[in-house]
Amino acid sequence: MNYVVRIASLLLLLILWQIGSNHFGPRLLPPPMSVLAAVEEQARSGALFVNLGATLARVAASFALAISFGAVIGVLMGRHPALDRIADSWVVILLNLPALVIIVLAYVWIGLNEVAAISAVALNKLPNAIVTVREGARALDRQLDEVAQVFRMSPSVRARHLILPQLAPYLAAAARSGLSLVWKIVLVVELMGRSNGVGFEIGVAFQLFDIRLLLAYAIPFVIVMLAIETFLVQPFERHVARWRFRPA
Amino acid sequence: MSRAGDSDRLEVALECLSLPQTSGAARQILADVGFSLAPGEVGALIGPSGCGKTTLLRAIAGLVGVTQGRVRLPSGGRLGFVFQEPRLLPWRDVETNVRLAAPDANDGDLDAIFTALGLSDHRRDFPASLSLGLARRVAIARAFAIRPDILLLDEPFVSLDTALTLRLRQELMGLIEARSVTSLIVTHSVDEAIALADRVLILSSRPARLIADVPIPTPRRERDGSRIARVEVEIAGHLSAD
Ligand SMILES: Nc1ncnc2c1ncn2[C@@H]1O[C@H](COP(=O)(O)OP(=O)(O)OP(=O)(O)O)[C@@H](O)[C@H]1O
Ligand SMILES: [Mg+2]
Repeated sequence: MNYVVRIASLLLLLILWQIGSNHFGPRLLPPPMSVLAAVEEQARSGALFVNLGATLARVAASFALAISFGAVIGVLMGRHPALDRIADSWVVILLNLPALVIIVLAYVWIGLNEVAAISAVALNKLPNAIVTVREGARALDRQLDEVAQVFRMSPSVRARHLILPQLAPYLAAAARSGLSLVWKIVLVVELMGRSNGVGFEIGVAFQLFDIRLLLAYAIPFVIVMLAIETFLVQPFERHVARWRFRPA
Repeated sequence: MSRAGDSDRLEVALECLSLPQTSGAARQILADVGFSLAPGEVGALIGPSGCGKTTLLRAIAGLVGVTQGRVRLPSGGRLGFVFQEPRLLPWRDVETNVRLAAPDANDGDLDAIFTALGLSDHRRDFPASLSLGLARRVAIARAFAIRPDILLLDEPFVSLDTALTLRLRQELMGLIEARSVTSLIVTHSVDEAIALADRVLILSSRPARLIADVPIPTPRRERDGSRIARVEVEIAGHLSAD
């Protein structure tokens, strides 16, 4: 039933798109079939996959950087109030710095290269990851800490079996909100300073006023990100929460 | 003080233990509490609610610092703690919970402990699916699995029904006697103290002092109504005099 409604609503969107295209003309809004043909052209030449691949690699790298640094810094700040007092205002500033400012500064300071692009995206996501994980670190169960202390559990056992399972829901939340933020910012970073990737192609399409090409990149990219969200992030979230619902 | 095996005793010689209150000021919780337990000896700790029984166990376990005085664990120093709440890792199954606390335990020993506590069928269960009674048993299994030199139990049977309490008491005493583990059990029930312990240690209300140290001479198995009536009266006297 759910699926039927969803498919019907997508079909309705396609019909509206077609009507809009008839109304505004193919230059402003190319019809669905024409965009599909453009996707096929880009796929056949291989350009679609090269650019999608470049963008996904940037998403993956900056996402991994932001989450792992965010996790470590978040845990440290959550567990050490003194550190938290010092670093909290930095996090707040970073949180409120517009993405564009970080991107421009990264390109100016580091140069127009991959390191700058990935760091800029990671830095945009970092404060959000820190805040989410810090919340988790503050909520760590002190009673279980005492169990670990009394039974002299090793630091690695504590990290793996005590801390990580408690942080997992927070990491999943950070991952979920992080992914959608990161892939949007990656496109901007590519537009401004890279010579491949979906963002770069969209920039080219903008300069040529080629809406057909723009949509031919935008739509497959959104589909890929939705697939990652549905088949990777959501199952991870369920996995993380599994012990709560374990039947007898 | 040159008796052989002195270093195997639990020695508690507290003069003062204060804890900071939310108001900021420190409050004295424990005053003079001095006693020692010989190897294999079982002490029961009773006293009015809120007097500092849990705090005393935490001080022995090193979870809270002593302001004045000292605690010496039996040589070996391995300490098993059964907290007032089961405190299991909800995301790990029963067996993993025990193994994480006792990575050196061998399979045979774990089998024996699980069997003695009736946990054999629950090794793969997750804590959320266990009743309170079962979760308590897992906490007891975890404490025994490390082969403790001293075992601390904080009201291990509180809020279980009478039949279950009696069964668990027997299972616990079976393990303590079989392994002759020095044990200190906090309880708020005089009956339980008399049924389990070799000695009953009575604390006064705040700050807690040790006001009596009553030996139970009758062997554990022969402690029925008439024989222990005298001790029962003696302990009741101490508690009401406070
Ligand atoms: N972490 C703590 N910080 C400050 N005060 C504490 C702390 N833990 C306990 N106290 C105080 O110490 C006193 C003794 O508490 P404790 O839990 O040791 O008593 P208890 O005899 O175990 O009580 P119960 O019979 O309710 O289990 C109480 O007044 C309590 O408020
Ligand atoms: Mg208590």
